[in-house]
Amino acid sequence: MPVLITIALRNLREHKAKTLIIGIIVALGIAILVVGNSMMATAALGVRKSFIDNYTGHVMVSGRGQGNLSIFGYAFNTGNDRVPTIPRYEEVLRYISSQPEVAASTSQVTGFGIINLEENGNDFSMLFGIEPESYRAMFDSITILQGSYLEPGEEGMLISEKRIKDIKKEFGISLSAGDSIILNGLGQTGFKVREMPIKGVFRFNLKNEQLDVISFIDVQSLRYLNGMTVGTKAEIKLEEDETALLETSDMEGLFEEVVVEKGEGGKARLSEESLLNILGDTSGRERTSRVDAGAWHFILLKLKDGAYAPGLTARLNRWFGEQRIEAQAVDWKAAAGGFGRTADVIRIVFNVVILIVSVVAVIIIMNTLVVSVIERTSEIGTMRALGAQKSFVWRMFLLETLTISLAFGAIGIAAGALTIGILNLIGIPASNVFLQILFGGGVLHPTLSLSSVAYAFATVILIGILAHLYPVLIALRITPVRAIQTE
Amino acid sequence: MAIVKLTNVRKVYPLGKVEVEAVKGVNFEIERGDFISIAGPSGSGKTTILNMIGCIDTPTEGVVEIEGQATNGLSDREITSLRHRTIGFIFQSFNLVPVLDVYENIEFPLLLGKEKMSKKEKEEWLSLLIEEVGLTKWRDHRPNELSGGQRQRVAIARALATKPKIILADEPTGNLDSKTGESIIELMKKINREQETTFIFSTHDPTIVAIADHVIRLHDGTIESEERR
Repeated sequence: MPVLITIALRNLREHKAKTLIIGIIVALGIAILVVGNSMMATAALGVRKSFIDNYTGHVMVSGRGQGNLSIFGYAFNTGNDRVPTIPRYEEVLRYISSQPEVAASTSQVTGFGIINLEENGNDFSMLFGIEPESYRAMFDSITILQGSYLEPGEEGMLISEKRIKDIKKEFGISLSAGDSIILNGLGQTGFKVREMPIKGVFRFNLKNEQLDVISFIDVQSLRYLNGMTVGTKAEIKLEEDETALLETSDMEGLFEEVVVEKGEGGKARLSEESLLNILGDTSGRERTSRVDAGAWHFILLKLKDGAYAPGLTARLNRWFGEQRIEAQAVDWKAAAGGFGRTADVIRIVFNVVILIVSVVAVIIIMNTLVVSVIERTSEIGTMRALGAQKSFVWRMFLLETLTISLAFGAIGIAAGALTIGILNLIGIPASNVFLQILFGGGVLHPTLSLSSVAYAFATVILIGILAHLYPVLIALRITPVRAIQTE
Repeated sequence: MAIVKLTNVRKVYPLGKVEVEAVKGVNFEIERGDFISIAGPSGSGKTTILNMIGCIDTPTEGVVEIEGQATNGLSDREITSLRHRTIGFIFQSFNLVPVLDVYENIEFPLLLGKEKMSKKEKEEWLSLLIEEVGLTKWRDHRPNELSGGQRQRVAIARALATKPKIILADEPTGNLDSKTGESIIELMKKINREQETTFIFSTHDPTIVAIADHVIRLHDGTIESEERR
């Protein structure tokens, strides 16, 4: 073995140009891998932390729905996908609160509203209906710039500073805390209008322009705008004749009942009794039109330790199944919707790019080694003639490739670590919304991730092993006699 | 018993669509301790025969026996072991490992098999070989720092390192001037006398042929004459 190491090291030194070409490719690829993966890991941690700390908590409980349900509603809202409310909310909340891992919880309703700016136009807003006390205790996500935070039971909304600026810029209307706006909601039970006082203007502590469309609103007002009334979840039992009436196609028949009676002298007379008969009993309608004070879309949970999340999620889902409650528990990533998945998608794309770069690197290294094998045909043949088994030749090339890969891989890792150190000091500003999502904030201070170093190390070894295979096959085909003839 | 025996050995090389018969049914025996020259003009089949004796090429027909063992049908591993155990090589172009120095080049064959000598024994043996070929002062030098004659001396010492029974030398003086060539042949002859190593070398130089005590003359792939002195 020592002679193999001697030959490997001296050959690398002898063929400086080739060693440098292969080395630079390896070092550069590994440096990119370390920097990229460290940035990805830091960004993923940033996104995770920012969402858990500010918007989703560790676990989100919701009603069981179809598709990708997040705290922002459905990923692709077609208008038909009504966010389900949590059935048997009180029972669910009681069970969740009894779980030892849960440190805090808050409930939320999500909806959409249109800020009616009268003749100036309309502005769309995502609305988070919250319980101010528990929400503020759990999420330290905003700073109040004007006015005050919502008080429990108080009607009103909080609008982001960015939104205020956008409205001013687009519509020329200055809004501030203390003003009132008309908010329209297109809920399940039709078009709703409500005048809302702006209680405060805030700024999200983490810069993310996408999230600036969110306004916080007292939950009861949002339930009204969303049409989350008692009636929407009441079960209505119809008699047979009433079902038949709904199914009829005879439109004339619907108006057969006499409401206009003929009076004296043939004059028509509208009787009070017959008029009330048309409207029927409206007490039921009034009852079912009341806002359902127990309707919630989400319960967001913060745990004593994030590591408990998978276990608790599984336990909650098992319990929902056993209790036949149409609810589900998901982790922060699902709760964050597209925001949570973006980092994963970028990571996959990055790794695909790295895979392609690695394949190119392997091909270049392979080619260079093939040239080296051809140049050393005589040397290999001589060794074989002197009694070197094929395994000796194979080990010699493997050692040379691994030596070069590991040595320059280490240089690449060091260069990557240095780059990460510098980037950590200066920070990478997120110049656009996409990067803000990716970075989980306005500036990324990447840190060296040990997993990325381990990954790079494994990649280096894999590149070395793959790159040496074909040249070694060529080397093993060299017979001693051919080597002597070559000379 | 003959150390090398060739029976009806024929070697055919494909050359495009035609076949070239380099050796045409050759029979001869070489005794232990022989200092034998296989002589003949270029293309007479000297190197082909030498390669088959050295187990780095196989006959198309016939049998090559080394120490009574037929080399036909041996696996690559077996034939490599046989080569390592029994045969030392001296090449016309020296074929030293360029990145190893004189000592390491001579030591190299010893590192390819199981260690039979202790570290001390090995060092003493290698130093003796270096001294024998007159390269004591040059032991730490790389091949590119040596003259042609010195390189061939390294190759001779390397061929002797494993104490083989047979040493094959293909045109050992072909790349050397006549004076250096003579000294190399004298060195080989000295080792042959002292250690009873069988030397088989190919050459077309009549002055070197004259030193051999067994000469096989080839012409066009057949034995023209065989002479024992």
